[in-house]
Amino acid sequence: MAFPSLSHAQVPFGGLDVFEFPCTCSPFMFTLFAPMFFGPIPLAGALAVPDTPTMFSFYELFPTAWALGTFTPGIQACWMYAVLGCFPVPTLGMMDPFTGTSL
Amino acid sequence: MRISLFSLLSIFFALSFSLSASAEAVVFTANLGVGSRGTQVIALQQFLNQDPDTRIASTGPGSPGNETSAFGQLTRAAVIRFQEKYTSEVLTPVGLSQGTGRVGSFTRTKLNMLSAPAPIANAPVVTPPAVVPPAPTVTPTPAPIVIDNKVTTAERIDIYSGDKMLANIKNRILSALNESIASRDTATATMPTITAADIPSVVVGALTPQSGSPDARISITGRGIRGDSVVYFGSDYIVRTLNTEYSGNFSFNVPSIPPGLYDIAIKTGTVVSNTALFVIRDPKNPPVHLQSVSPSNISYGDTLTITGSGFSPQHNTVITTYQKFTNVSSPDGKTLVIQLAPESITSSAKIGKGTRQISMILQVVNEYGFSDSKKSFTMTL
Repeated sequence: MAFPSLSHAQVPFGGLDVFEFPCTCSPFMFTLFAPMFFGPIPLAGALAVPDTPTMFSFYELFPTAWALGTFTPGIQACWMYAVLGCFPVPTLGMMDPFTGTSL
Repeated sequence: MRISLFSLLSIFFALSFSLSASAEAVVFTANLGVGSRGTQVIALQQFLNQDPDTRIASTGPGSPGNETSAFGQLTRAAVIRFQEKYTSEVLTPVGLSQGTGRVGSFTRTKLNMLSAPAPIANAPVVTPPAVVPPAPTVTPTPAPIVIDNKVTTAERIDIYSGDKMLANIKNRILSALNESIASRDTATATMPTITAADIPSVVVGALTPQSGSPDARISITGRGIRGDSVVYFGSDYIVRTLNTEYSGNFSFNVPSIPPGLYDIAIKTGTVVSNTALFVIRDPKNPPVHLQSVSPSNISYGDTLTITGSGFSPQHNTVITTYQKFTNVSSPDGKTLVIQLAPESITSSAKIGKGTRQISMILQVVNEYGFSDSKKSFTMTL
């Protein structure tokens, strides 16, 4: 599993948290943002969000919350369990701590 | 022919009444505040100038006969005097004791009541002839609900059309995920392609604050919102006027419609946004307080008991990280019970080894307001 490093660029983004599911093979949540803005064109995109109670106290991400923050692209952090092993669920990257929400 | 003095007086007052009514019958339909301009402002100043207590100015701009179309500080001060003169009807219902200087729903209602053709509150005071019986004592009635926020037939829309677009995206992703889990393949999951056409181009990000009394100003953040956008409160009510904030964001004033929990959607042109929850508060209702959730760790499909106070008998919405429940009942007002079986976790729960603990939080909202806190718990898969 990959972890963020300081050599990765952090990308600012904003977006509407549409829904989430837990990554059952890694301590992250798959979170879909639609729209998601990190450039001039609105897109939909998924990020892996650390799933720990400590992180929740910062994020408090709920579906329909508007998030503003940064993510580190290119990190494959969401893995799902499928009996014979774990498979990767593609995301744009990993959300960084201290992302704010509208809640 | 003998014409009595009373008959002559009656004719005189009847003529005065009709002339006065035709000159003063003004219907205030817009929210007004410092910076507003237009004929409604002129009418407002003319109306306020009829009462010495609320006169804009005794000389110069704004004084009787010199009313202007600009709502400035003098008008604001006069509106405050008007609101405080009729405190029980204008301020008390929204929990205020001091005037705001802004003409919102309740102030408009009082203005329209007073400027209606009958009775005329500012009619000259005369001593009635002895033959006229004394006027009966009238018990003041509460201000009526203003109906100009009702959705017309032409304005009726499906306020959930934006939500349906987002639900479609969710279903496509879940379907792809479940296929990958069912295949037992460890190759990277193939996710569906989502294009701009799949996402509503108007999005409500946040309403700040998320609850308020009539006339409170609520800021909106999101995308695709313009000055000519309209705000739907459920399917039946609408706010047609948005304010432009200095920040460039937009805001609206809470309409005088029945208190309660509303799904808010914004329509720009023909595009309808996702919905967001908003509560129009009634000061009589209790706050929503969360005490605890138990057990603190559950399995998929288990029940979770939420304790607290201020729960509605029938219409509580419980929002958790992975599942939303609506119309949850609480006969005692202190307990809510939900059974957690999120659709997005169903496939994973079936094959779970009992080693993965996922964190969740929950929040309660009902027609009284949003809960004062959020509670966390875990689910073992």
